[in-house]
Amino acid sequence: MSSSLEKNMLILRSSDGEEFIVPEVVAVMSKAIKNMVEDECASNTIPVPNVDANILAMVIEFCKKHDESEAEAASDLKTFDSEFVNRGQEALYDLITAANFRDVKELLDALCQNVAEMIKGKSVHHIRIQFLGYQLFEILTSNFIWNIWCDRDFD
Amino acid sequence: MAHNTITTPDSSSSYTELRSAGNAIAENSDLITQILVRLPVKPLTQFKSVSKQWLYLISDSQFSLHHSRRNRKPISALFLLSLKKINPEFSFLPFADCSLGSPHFQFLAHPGTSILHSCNGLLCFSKLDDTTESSILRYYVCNPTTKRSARIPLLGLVHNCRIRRGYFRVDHKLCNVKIEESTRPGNDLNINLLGIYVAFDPLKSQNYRIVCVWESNADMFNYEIRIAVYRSEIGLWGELMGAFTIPYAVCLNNGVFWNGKVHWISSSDIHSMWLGMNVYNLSTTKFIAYHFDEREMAYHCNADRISIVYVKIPAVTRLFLSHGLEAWSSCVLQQFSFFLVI
Repeated sequence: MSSSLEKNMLILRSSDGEEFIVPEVVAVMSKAIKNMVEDECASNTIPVPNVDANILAMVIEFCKKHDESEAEAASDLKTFDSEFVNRGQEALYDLITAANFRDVKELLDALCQNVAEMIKGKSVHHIRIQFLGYQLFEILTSNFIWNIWCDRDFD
Repeated sequence: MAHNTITTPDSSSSYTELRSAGNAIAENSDLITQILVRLPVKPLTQFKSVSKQWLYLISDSQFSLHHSRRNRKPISALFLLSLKKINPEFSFLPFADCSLGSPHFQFLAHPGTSILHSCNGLLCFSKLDDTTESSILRYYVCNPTTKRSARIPLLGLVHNCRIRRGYFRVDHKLCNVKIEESTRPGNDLNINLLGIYVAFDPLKSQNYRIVCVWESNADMFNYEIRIAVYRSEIGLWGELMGAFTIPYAVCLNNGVFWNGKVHWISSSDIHSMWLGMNVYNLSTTKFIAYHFDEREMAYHCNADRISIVYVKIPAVTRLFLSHGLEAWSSCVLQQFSFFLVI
């Protein structure tokens, strides 16, 4: 079974059971996986819980690009990074969670930078909706109730 | 049960997922910190009101240290203070990309206030407090940007305070600094304050130190240099023990803080010897002599965030030239003794 694989390849299994064959050099860009490999507790297949196939594919794409282009110009990598992180919010948040969980520093840096750019000009209400799960009507109604409460007569 | 399931339209289910992903990040303060540290200062101040957690994260002193280390900025302006001790005049000298206006110093307008030193945005000044019967010279450290100041529990009574032609003339006399009984020769102790220096590097620490240098004569002709250092984190003065042998030509009246050390210039050498004292590592207090040639000095000024402020006139001229300020001729510069960097 393992003989069918080249020596320095690893299999990563996402939370929904899909398997990815990646070179070891790419996989160890994640510190968490690197530790597992170094401690030799990684058997053929490394489970990557909490990360589904979609996101895992994205993370692997990012790591491959960074691994290949080490010698390439840094500006190319920058443009790749900025295009890579330019995604919908949902994917972006999932990617951040995955990058943080698997400890992929470069990816986390690029993603956090992108989120920071995104929220730079936003209002406090907007941030609350986005991060704290407030809904717009909650804010409106709470303001509305507060205004009624403030305006009533205390006699 | 079929009738208990609530069918949700697709849009709202994706909205719920989005919320949960956003929540997952919001619950992880490490991640939030990673994002916040990449924001400029203005949004950060607004986002303090997002939630208690965000307020806590942004107000943390470690966070601000982290933030200022990430977002290093070159200096944007200089303050020039004229050499005249009485009624000091400021000149505000913005560099090309400076968006700041000239700050106000009205709170320093009190007569008898004199600015002693400055460093990386902190200002040390003394103020004559004449509300009590005996005039007391009090020392303060303030941040002109936030207009907050702290009084230094320092050096108390002023012995000679004369009023001449309507303005105060204050001779500093050092009294309250802890001096060992054994070295105190009766009442004839004569103390001469040489200088007070603020040492503050926001990239190293949030705390500042104040270095006070004075000379005292134990007997008639034998003056010795003594040094005390104040640490803002504990709020206490500590005197450095040991007699310091300092070359005669070093002028301890004018020092600057730079690269973790207070530097004094020696007037004897043409190539200006600098004497440095490390304020962060006091266990190995030593004076180290440096020889900088002019070019090196100017280079250091440009490469590092400058806090060099007292440099030889040619070096300053060069620094100014490199910022496109040719208009400042050296004859103008000679009138100024030190510069404030904000």
